[in-house]
Amino acid sequence: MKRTVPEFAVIGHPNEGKSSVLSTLAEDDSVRISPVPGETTEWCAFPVVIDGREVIRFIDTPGFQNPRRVLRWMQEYRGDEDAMLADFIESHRADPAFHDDCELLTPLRDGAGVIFVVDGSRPVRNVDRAEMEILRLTGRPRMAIINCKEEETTWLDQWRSEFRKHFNAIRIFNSCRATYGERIALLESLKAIDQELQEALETVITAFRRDWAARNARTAAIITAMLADALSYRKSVALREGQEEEQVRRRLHDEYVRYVEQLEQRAQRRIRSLFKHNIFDCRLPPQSILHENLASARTWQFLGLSPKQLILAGAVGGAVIGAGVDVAAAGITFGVFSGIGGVLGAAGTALRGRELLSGARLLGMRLARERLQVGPVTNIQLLYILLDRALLFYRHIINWAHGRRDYDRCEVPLARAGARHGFTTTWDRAARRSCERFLRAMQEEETAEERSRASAELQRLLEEVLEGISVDRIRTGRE
Amino acid sequence: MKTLWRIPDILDLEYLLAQDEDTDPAELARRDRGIYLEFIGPQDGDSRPEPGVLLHRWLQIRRRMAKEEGGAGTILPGRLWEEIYSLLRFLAMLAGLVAGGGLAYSFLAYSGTRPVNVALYLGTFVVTQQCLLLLLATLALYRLLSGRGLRSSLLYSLLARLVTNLLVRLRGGLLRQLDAGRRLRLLAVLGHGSARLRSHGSLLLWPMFILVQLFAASFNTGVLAATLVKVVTADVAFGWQSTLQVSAGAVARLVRLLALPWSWFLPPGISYPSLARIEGSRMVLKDGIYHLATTDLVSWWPFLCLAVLFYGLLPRLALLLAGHLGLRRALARYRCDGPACSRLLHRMLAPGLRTGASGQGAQPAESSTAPGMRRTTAGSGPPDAGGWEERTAGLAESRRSVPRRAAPEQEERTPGHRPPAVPEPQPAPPAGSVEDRARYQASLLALVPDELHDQCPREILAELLPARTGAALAGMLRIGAEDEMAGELGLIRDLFGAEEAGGILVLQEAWQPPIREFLDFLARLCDLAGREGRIIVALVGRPEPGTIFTPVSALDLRIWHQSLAALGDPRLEVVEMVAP
Repeated sequence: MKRTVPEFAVIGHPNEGKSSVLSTLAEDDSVRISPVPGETTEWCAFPVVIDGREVIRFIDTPGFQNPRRVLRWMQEYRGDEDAMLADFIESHRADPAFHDDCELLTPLRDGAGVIFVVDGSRPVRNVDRAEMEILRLTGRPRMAIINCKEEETTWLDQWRSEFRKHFNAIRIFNSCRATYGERIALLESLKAIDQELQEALETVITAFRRDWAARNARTAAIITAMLADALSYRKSVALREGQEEEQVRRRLHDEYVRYVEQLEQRAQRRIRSLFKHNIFDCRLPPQSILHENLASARTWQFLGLSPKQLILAGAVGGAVIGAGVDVAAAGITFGVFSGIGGVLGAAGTALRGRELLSGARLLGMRLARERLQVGPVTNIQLLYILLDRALLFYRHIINWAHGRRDYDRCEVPLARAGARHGFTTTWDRAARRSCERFLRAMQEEETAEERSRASAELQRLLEEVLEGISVDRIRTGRE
Repeated sequence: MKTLWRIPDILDLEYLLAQDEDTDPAELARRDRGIYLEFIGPQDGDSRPEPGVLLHRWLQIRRRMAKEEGGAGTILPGRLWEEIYSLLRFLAMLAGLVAGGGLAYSFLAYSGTRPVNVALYLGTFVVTQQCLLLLLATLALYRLLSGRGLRSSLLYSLLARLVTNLLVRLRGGLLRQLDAGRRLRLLAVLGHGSARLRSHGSLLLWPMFILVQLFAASFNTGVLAATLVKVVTADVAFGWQSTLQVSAGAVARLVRLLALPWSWFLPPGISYPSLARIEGSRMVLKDGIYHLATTDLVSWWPFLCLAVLFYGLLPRLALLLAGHLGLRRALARYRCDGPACSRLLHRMLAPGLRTGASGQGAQPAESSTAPGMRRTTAGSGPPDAGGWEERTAGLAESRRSVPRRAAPEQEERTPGHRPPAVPEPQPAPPAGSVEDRARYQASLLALVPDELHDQCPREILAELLPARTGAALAGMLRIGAEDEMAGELGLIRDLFGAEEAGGILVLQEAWQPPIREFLDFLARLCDLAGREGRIIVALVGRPEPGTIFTPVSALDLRIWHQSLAALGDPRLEVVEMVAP
């Protein structure tokens, strides 16, 4: 009977990282993983469901406990070859010593394909050869994965040459570092192990790709919505008698920063759940720029556009800034600033980029009669910084393999002075123009229609960028 | 027969050895060698005492050290046991007396309307106890005949069944829910417990047996005392009755039969009531008791008391004595031959070879002194130390200048020999009796897995083995080339016999998880090596270019320790082939 849902049992010696590989492949971080061997004691299926439809099923299994004995039994077996596994399980089911071996062979008896996992950081041993021989004798389509747990490559060649004798396909797969692209590549290799599986796996890969694109679209929408909320923020506060204007300004500024941080966190939570990370909380690497407060000097130093890029941006967006200054001066200038805004903007933004979040400049705070009005945001650098933070978070999330559990051990190189760590610094003019249009659309005077057009434009741009980051095509300024 | 070991000693030894498991091996080697050189060695001149005596002396020193380190309030498990056990003994006696006395006292309540039923008294205080004694005797006889010793003890088998059932249930349910680390730890603890029970189970059962006998003897004493008090201070009437038409003659025959143990030396009137008195104390409820003669009604009490004495108290006293003798015999048979004891003996007897500059900063003598002992040597040893400890006073100070008598074990620096980087115990040169050598230095048959064999030259193994295990290399065998390791057991058995090896060492890569197949293989090796044989799993780390002898990671070491502990065999040892 041909199976509709392709099924693969992840099999191997104890403590080789089977559960870790499975967790990454099935994007399921609830799989129990432990450095102590023998964590898995029963086979357990982890279906991948897309749009309510199960497309592929991975099965976690315990490690071999008696490879030599099982092999000897199989070599001495004289019955019907198709019934060999069933006979083995039948005759050993009652023996507790063979519990794990029976468990791991059960999915194979039921027709699952084999993904044989080995730890590539150790040499090949006789028990491994016995296990490979057992799998060969089962006659199931099989593929070998060298799980390079510790990035050690000394024994890779030994494994490769051993695997060539027993397997239809071999892949190196770091279950703790595997990205979306590598997962797709692994599925592509699975196609090669059995012609019968090709069609089903093709469907699976298509479904995976579509699903990924849909997740990217959702992420782009989440980021755009967050930016719109952050940039169109306004608040007007009456200045009471005796109140220090500076104090009120500071308070408003702090309120705003808190507001944007909350927006960011909400967006991050949504992105995280979109990529099925349940255990892995936003435990970002301690050195990460994402750990920095939005208003911190480091954030503004390492994210967003470079001073030079800002000057160019200023020339484009100068009108916005000029208008802001004009209004701030309560109309005394009679639009003079608007006229020369372009010039002023270009000259001023470079300075502004360094002076960072100095309240008035960021928010376009202005004093109108006895009221202090805040927002909308006029400093385009804030847009770029929020974008960079969201994109960095996205990359962190998608590249955190589900099989990886060392949540507090994450090597992210420390910030290097003089380099921009974000993605936006690498964007071309057209992309930056989309951003500027978006910022402008968030100003008070723009119509709703203009806003939705600008939002859609930014969202499209982001979808492309996210896709690029997924396949490692788009990188940050420092890479 | 004076036994060297008492239960508190054994408990303390186990406790202190268990404490040592977590201590740095180099530190342990230094301390124990120091204890030996300073306090034990000088006592014996050229002859080395029995291993048990050595360990016992070590224990005395360590007890003192533990007290010095922990302050006056330090209570070792042995002392705790002594206190708790004497309290339990007292409680058992008290409970027995109160229970027996109370029961008998209330049983003998007589208001003048209804005499105490003799049959009920006998049934409660004699027949029930006899049944229990009979059960005990049957089990003991069965045990004796089947020659299975402790394993067929009712208590043991019940306990074993309970633990097994618990384990099976745990395995089925709870164990699967635990993560691998916790599961392994739990199994290790259970294995450790079963190993302990296996190695000296009877030692722990005898004290319980003694407690039970104490209770029973006190119970009977209570019954006797209460009966006598009642007889002396109150007017108690005894009678018998039966719905069946039993003749007084039949009752008299039964009574005479029961009185056989004492009737041969006591006059008939006292040892049992005569036929006439029995006839006269028969109660018929419809007639009342007014027509019964008082002399007949009181004629029963000597018989009843003698029955309790001979069927209740005396057998229990005999069993109590047997319990003490049994415990003494078990203690005399106690042998400290677990892996931890072997390691300790090795640490004491193997000369410590030290490296480092002999100039500034070098402390060749101090380093072998047991920590804390310098302070204690001035004081006198415990009274039971028999003088050899007292003579240690001041030795620490003079040690450097006075040549020690234990010359062969003395620390030495061999010229031209490239010493290892860390202090490593070296093999003790032959000294003492032949049995000693055989005991500590019984050579090992090394089993080397196929894939490691080519990188494991015999010379290197022979050089490493004494330092790590205290034993020499007897022979080397390549294993694992066949499909199943167990298939090679025959060959191993032959070679083990031919080489007259004292144990088997299996070289194993620690990073390979301990799989069932290998653990079963170890269990079969244990069977093969006999009761005295050591089975050592010698661990190496991940191979590096040019050598397989690399250090083992802490996690791997822990996993192997726990996995082997879970097997519950006291003969199994884990050693690292390369010092961490």
